[in-house]
Amino acid sequence: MGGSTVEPVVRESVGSAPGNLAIASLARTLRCVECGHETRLEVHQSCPACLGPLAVTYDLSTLRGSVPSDRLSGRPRSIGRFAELLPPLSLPWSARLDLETTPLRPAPRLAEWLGVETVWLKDDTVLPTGSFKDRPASVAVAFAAAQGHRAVGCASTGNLAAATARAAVRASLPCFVFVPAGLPDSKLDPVRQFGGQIVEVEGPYDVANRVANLAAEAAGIGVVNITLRPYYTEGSKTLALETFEALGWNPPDAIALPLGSGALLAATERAISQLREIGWIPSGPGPALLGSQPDGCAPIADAFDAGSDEIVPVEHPRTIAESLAIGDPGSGYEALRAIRASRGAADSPTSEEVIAAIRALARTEGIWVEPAAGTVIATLRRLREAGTVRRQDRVVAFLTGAGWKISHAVALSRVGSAPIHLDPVHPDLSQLHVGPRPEALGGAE
Amino acid sequence: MTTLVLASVLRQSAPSLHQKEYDGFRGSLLEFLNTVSAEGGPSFRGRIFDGDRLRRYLNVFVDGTDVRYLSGLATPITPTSRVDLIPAVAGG
Repeated sequence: MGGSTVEPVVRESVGSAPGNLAIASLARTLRCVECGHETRLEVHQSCPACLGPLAVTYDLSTLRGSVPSDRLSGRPRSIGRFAELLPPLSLPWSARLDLETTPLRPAPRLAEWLGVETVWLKDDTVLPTGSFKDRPASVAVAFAAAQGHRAVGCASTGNLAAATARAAVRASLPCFVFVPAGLPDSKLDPVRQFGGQIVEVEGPYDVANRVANLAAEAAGIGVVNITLRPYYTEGSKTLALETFEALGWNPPDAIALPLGSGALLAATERAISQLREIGWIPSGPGPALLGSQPDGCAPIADAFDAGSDEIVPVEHPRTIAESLAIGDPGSGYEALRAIRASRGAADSPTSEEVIAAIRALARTEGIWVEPAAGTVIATLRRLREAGTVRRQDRVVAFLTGAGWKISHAVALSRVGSAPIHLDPVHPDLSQLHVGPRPEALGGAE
Repeated sequence: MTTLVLASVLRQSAPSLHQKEYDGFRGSLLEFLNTVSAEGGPSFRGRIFDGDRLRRYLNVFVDGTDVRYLSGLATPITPTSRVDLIPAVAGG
């Protein structure tokens, strides 16, 4: 790659905040992914013409042919690094809500367990509330604050609740989170600590989602994944953008990621498309997008398996992967099309396979994830066994949530860890068996 | 009264229909939506129907339940029903 470079437009500095460069967004309009109807960059939930999903469009002409290392040089390691490819987020909101880049970790021991040669883990468990939802929540709340919203909120299976409540603190806005009744305290305690108002709705997530939809209008709340959804989903692109940069803009053969509403996968596909358009990654096939849903709630994976263009919603999801318990996926059709266009796949492992994958990841790479991310690893294993993923493939897995977030699923996977009880005065230290010294880890981090 | 509730994106083409109450209606959801569409005009109907089917990105709830889990357009509407028309693109 070569060609001219364009320096970022620096408008003002905001001290030591991570996003201390104001880089102009190249966003231009909202466009319906179904009918192509275009509208201004305002608050719209869906297409005014056909109700289809809206996506932010960008004029990428100033980036086309630029050299990424020149372009990004000197910028903070944060999501604001990619401001041209994000919605316009005026200061000071963008700086207050910026997030530091997360690690892309090589995972040789997990690769061995999976039966592939090269695996990297995009580790979003380290984000402030322990899930990738900090990304879309930050972008959407920054947009809401700049638009003058007096309150924000979300409909959530738990992770987004904490992320939105945190982002609301950063933006000094009140926050209302609509959740299905009965979520574990591990998901809701962060909301309480951040001062968010929890609104419990009897029924599964989709019912909470419907009530939030009505409340957004009646109460004037900027609901990040409803009324602000086109901007919210753009935040999820940063997972892919950071991943490609960490790989030197050399795309992997496959990216494995969870499917809840399908918004993350659709956003990943948009990031890839935009990077191709500006020439930062090569045109052509790949990476294959590998979507993962748990077998108790797999409307997108089921449609993929059936070769169908119709997604049949699941009225009563039953899964340990609560963050993926979305029976009526709002971005399901976009995700299904993106999976097929990338020559990827979708799969739905069982709870037992998910628990085994969580344990394998914890014991090979020392990363403890929640079941949504365990579903991703379990899907990779299944697709490798089926031959869909080849041994020589270079694979990235998005680890979207930390294991500490979900206590009861952890209880399901508690094995081999019965405590040894020692007397404090006469401890029987013969109970401690260290075992032989492990082999040296060649090629480890 | 059968009550119709419209999301704001649908109200734009038929503001008078939001929270409108229909006295004594009894029939199928299809019949109810045909009645509503006749009042809202072709533009409104076009946002609800794609041919003779409900639009893919429209969710219809009768008394809080998605009609895909009931009987679809054959779902019975009674004089006490509440019908919500809400965009499907939400959540996640």
